[in-house]
Amino acid sequence: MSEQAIPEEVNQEQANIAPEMDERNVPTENNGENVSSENTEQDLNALSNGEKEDKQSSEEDENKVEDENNDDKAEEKTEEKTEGNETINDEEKTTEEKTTEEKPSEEKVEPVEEQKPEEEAVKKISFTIPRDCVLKETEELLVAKTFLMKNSTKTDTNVYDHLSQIVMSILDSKIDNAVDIFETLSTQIKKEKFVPDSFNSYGELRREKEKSSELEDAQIKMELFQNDNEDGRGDDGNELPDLMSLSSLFEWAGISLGKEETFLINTSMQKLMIDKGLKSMRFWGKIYGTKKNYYIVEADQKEEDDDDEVYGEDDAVNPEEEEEGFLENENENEKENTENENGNENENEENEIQESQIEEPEYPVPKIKIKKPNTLSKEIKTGINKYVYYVCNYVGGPWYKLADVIPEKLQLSRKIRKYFTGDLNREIISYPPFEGSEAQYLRCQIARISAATTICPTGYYIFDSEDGEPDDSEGPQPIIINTEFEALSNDQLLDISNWVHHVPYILPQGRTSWENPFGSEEEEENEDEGSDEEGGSDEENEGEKVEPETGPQLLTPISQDEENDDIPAWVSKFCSRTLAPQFNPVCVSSTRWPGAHTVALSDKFSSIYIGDGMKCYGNTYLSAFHIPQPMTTIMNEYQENNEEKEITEQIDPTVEEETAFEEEQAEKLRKKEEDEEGTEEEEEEEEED
Amino acid sequence: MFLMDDIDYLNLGGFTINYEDRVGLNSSLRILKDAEKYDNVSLWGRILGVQKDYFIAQCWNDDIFGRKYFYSTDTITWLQLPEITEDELKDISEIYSRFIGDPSYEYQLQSQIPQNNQQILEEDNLQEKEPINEEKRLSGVIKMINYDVEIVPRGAFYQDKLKKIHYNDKFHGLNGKEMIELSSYFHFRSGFKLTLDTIEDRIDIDQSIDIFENIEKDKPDGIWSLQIEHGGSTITLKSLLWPGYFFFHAPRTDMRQCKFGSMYNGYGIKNVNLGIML
Repeated sequence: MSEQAIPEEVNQEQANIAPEMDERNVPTENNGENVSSENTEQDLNALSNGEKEDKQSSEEDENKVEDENNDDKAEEKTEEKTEGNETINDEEKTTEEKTTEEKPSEEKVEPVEEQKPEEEAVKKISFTIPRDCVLKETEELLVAKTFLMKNSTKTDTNVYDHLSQIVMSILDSKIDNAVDIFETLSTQIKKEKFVPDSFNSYGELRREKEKSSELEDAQIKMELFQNDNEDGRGDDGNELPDLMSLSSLFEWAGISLGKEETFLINTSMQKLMIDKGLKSMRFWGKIYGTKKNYYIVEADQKEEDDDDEVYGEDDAVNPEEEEEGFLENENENEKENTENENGNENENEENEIQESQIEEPEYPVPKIKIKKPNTLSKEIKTGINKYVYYVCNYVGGPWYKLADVIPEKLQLSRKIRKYFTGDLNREIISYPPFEGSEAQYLRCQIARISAATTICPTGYYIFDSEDGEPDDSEGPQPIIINTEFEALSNDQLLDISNWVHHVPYILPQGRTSWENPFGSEEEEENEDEGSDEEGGSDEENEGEKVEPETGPQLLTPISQDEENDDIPAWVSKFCSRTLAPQFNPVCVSSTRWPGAHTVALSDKFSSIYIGDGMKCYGNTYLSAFHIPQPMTTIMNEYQENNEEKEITEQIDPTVEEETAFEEEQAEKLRKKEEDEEGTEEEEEEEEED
Repeated sequence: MFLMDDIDYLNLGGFTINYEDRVGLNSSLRILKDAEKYDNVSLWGRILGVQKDYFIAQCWNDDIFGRKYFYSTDTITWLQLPEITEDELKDISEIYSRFIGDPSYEYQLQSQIPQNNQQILEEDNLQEKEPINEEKRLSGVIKMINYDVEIVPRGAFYQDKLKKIHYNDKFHGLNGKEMIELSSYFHFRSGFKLTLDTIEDRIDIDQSIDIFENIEKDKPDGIWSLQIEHGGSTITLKSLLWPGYFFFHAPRTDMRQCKFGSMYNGYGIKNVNLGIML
């Protein structure tokens, strides 16, 4: 009678395993070790027994003997256990006669008693099975089992657990015809598991989490639309570019950020302009970073805005010294050297403070013969720092203001080559050490790219004639838009000698106007000023005037730019092969800064940079390799002064030499004593006489 | 490779193909397909030269790894690129100057610069080599780029019992977690031996789709720049070794189809300074 209508796929061979199950729950779990589950032991055993029996059946003939013995008793239990093995065991040997109503909990009691005499025999067999066999289950089986135990992502349960729970419930309640209502049972069990609002529950809360980043992004973009016509639109002369039409121009040249994205950038820029009260702005470009990108906007500020959090500002606003122990220039009378970029105005005052803090060393220290240059002052509001730059990581994101260019940093930025990561606060680790944040590096690169690649057609700008002769003015000559500018024809635009730079050239020292790093002559001799290490080449000039660095004047045609090895620095071409000239834009691209393009069509023109922010150094095999600055020379040994021979280097005498020397000394002593004795005797003799 | 209707995704890489070129490509690629009798023709990429740019098309019949390449400077006429030998490939890999835009331009190779110490024999050998012209260099560069950086998402291609590789039409895209893992993207190149070392491997690895090497182990770390765009719905992968190689993937959602594709839009110059730049 099979009151339990359980599909019976019982193996006769499983029988022998049954008694083992009960008493050796532990050893059978060596198979279960691989599986992390909260399953009932029986399930484990059942499965492991299933596995074992596969092995054993193939290897141990003795088991078959035992099979017959344990047939009656063991099969009862294996019936239930093999529920778990349904999917695994292919061998079918139904034994419908043998059914019991024993519940799993009772198993342990009854069969033990019944099978005691045989247990030992069985025991022995199982013990003699070498451990290898037990573990060497068919791999598919284990794979399959593990697969079944893989938790579903939605509900954190798995097939294996679920099935075993169903089986348990069926056994517990002894349902008739369970197979017919199997699905209902399954659903019921799932329902019981459901706990609303718990951490992993199968509820609607989950779905929301998954889509949130997209949702957030969508919300951010919607916010851009909200500041619409509230603030005065017809602002007085606020210059905003017409990004949408410019982007069509750029598309002709093959450069594009996508119309939708460009539109969003436009809206975001408008918002920024209103927020910060900027006079004019221009979309400068996009720099790709490894983790995030930068969208950069160039802006002209109306008034000084000190409230802004600025990225890349110097750490040392109040220049306390930071000791650089490895510097060889320590001087009691002079200030300790720092490598900080100090603020411009307060250098002299700071140096005086430093004097009092220095101890006097005990021994004479060599005096510095080299005159160290001062820190160069930043150009404020003019030249290289004429515009202010705002960056954001993604469209719609917050705009960050970048600090002004520091000349020393710009010199350093020419020597390193590092990818941007997208994180403004990241410290740049490089050789020569940049010792600044990514925000500073970014600002330097932006300055270099702007200075090198922002161009305009000839005649668009003219020199402002109010300031008199160009030589007298301190900063770069101001230029103004030529109101009488006539658009150049397309052919003229194609000719690169019709394009000129309108951003001043950056001198090697990092500024656009020359500043003598050593100050004036008088100051040099009177005050020994604190010094900073610089890349300047004029270190040896003691009191001499340093030659001012010069660069090309503003508004020089780009055709005069140095060639990039064997290819020209600038390349211009028509964007289309078939359009009529009045519609055919011209694209002028830089080869030195790949990604810098200027596109022009009749009277409209615009520059943009889309790239990774790196310069192309040249066109040859060698120039492709970035060769870092060579390391400094190794310091020399202390040079012995001729006057003070305190420290001399000698070779240590060998042992033989030492002993020989000692013997000599000893002999001399002896001789001396003898002589003295001799003289004493003489004296005595003389005295006697 | 990518489909021409996915051009908008290229904007995430900062570039696009202007309308004139799009029209030209659409038509001329179709003509090329017919003329050269290939089953599959698609745009591989664009190499920017100083004077002109090269559009590169790839064509294949059955063997996707035996693709033939054609180039065009004006999207109208296509010329086949020559096959190159191993030696030539070695020479090409040492050229780091810009492509000029003139297919017959010949390069002065570093190794061909005569050195005084060379024996006469060597000089003779050098003279026997044909000079590398721009066509050959194109061919070599394409080969190198394909080997180094061409990638596809996991599941986009599958292998049947006969070890033949097919495109998976039912590919719906990677799910959210897999999208941002580098291990879900494979190098699209032949010669991958599947290693089933651990049981874990066997569970996770599906032998029909895990048929290529994944890019997770590419050295140096950081050689791939993976970015999430459009708030998490699209992934872009940029190679820093061959700057200009751009891959995008947008899995299928209720609002759009599954998309992926890649294109090379660059100067055709390997970034040898990658190590110090990271």
